[in-house]
Amino acid sequence: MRPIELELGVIAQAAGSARLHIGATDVIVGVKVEVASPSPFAPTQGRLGVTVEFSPCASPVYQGRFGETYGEQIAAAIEASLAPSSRSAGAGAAAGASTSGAATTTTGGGGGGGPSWGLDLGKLCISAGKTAWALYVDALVLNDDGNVVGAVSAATLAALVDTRIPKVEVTTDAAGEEEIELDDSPGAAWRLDVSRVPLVVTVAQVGSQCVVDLTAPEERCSSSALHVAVNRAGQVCGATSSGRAGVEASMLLAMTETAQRLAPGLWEQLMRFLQSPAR
Amino acid sequence: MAAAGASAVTVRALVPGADVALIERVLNVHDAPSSTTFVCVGDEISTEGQEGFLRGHGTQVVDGKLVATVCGVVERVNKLIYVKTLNSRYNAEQGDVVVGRVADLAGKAWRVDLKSRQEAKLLLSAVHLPGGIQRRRNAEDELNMRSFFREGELISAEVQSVHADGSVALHTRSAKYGKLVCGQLLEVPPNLIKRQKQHFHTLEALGVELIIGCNGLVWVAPLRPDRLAAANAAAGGGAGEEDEAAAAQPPPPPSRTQLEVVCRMANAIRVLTRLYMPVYPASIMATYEAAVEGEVALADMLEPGFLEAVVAQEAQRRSSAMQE
Repeated sequence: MRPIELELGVIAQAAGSARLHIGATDVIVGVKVEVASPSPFAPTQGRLGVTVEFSPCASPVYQGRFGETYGEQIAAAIEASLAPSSRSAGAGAAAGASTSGAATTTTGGGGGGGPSWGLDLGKLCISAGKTAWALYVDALVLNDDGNVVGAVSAATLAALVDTRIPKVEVTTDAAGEEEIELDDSPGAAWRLDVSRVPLVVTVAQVGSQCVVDLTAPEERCSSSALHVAVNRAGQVCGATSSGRAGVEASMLLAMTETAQRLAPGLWEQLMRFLQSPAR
Repeated sequence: MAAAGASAVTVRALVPGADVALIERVLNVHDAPSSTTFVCVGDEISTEGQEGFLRGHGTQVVDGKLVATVCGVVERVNKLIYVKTLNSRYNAEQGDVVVGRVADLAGKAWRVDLKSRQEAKLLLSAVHLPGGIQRRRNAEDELNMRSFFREGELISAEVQSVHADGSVALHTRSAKYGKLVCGQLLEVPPNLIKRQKQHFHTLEALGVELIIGCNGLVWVAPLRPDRLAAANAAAGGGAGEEDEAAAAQPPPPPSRTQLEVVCRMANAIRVLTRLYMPVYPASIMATYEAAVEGEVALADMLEPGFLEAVVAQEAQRRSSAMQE
């Protein structure tokens, strides 16, 4: 894989941000936190929203609205890797083919208590049923030289590590109304637990070989690609396919195994850098 | 870019402008050069001491002052004042060897994309027919244009003429020009390519064919027997019988070592592009040999360590050249 270059805290107004380069691919991810009301289907959990945008300067291909569908697909993949409980946690694979040729399958059931992978949205709850933190992850792709999905996934992980969420105190005043007090001081912020967040690794098929981390010209030569979300323990948390041709069944296993082999090492290297004082 | 069974990934801090800092440090060049030479957008260009002047590209008169509209170096030629930029599109000149991609077929010509301001035209009458026969092109030839070059194929050609409106006409009237297959194409800023006597280089010792297009597209490929024959024919003048026979056979697929050599050459050119150094055979070979002698792995050639070695070599070359 090409070396990854990472910088944290690039957006001063965001709760957390990261800028990541893989070769010439350049992405910025910003995380914003907001106090909002939780979803009525999950009153004890916070909200999560992921958007991925392609800047027109990323590539002449993304002029106009072309980047929107691709961005939505990547956002859906990242959101599924971060918050498994927000999707229907069916034990089997539910394959739905969309018109743009991408199929999403969620494997590995979410267990009873906390989620088995991703972020624990229960920690984002402030007052059950009334207020909770809403996490908005916005990714902007500034330059596309291949492996955008991997870059956005790694940058999201970095931005989440960098995110500081203010401490909140809920007090009940005389009238019985709940009041929320935000502690603005930077020292009193808490950070998210990202130990279960998976990374998305893209494995593509070129001819009869499985290749990872393709550059833009190489991506044009590949026939199909599989984006596999794998956590630090090497477990597969989800998969999305893309490309003109479908993924052959024989290649599917080889691709998944490649991703499983690569992701834990990548996770360790990223976390080692993110936790070192040098950043 | 690694195949299955990858090694560890390096994650390091992003340092914006690391390349420029590296070059400045090793070459002992410090930034903020004399302000009279370099201008930025909106900088005023001094016109004192010049009564009448002609304003050229990259300048504009704003509030009675001459102001630069691009970033670059101010050049003064007699009474003409203009700003020369570092990166500009390729401007074709007659006799340039170029590498381009066929974009479209239109009437009796191919439209070729040279990464210039306009697409160039390659007329059917300007193409070398197989067998070297000289005859008039008829309607059948026109219908069979795709048998020569299809859309999306890469070709090497020479600029035949540049018209007053800027449109460029190409020709491939020699065996050494034509379709390019099985190799690597690199995009280099055209300002880094100097016009030289030879743009086709067949490095037989390494088994590599190198075409340095004046428009900034550089082609590196494993050397094939038919291309070698074409190069010899072009040099010797006139094709021999055995060369024709060699051209007719399909070339063997390249070996792994050959592909590695091609990759290393391509990376050497990428290194020169990153360091904004002129791209010509001597500099490419010097970088290539530095990589081989230093036993630098293919993937590590674009790392700061090797970049520093290349800049140091250039610094040494400049100081020894200045001493002479």
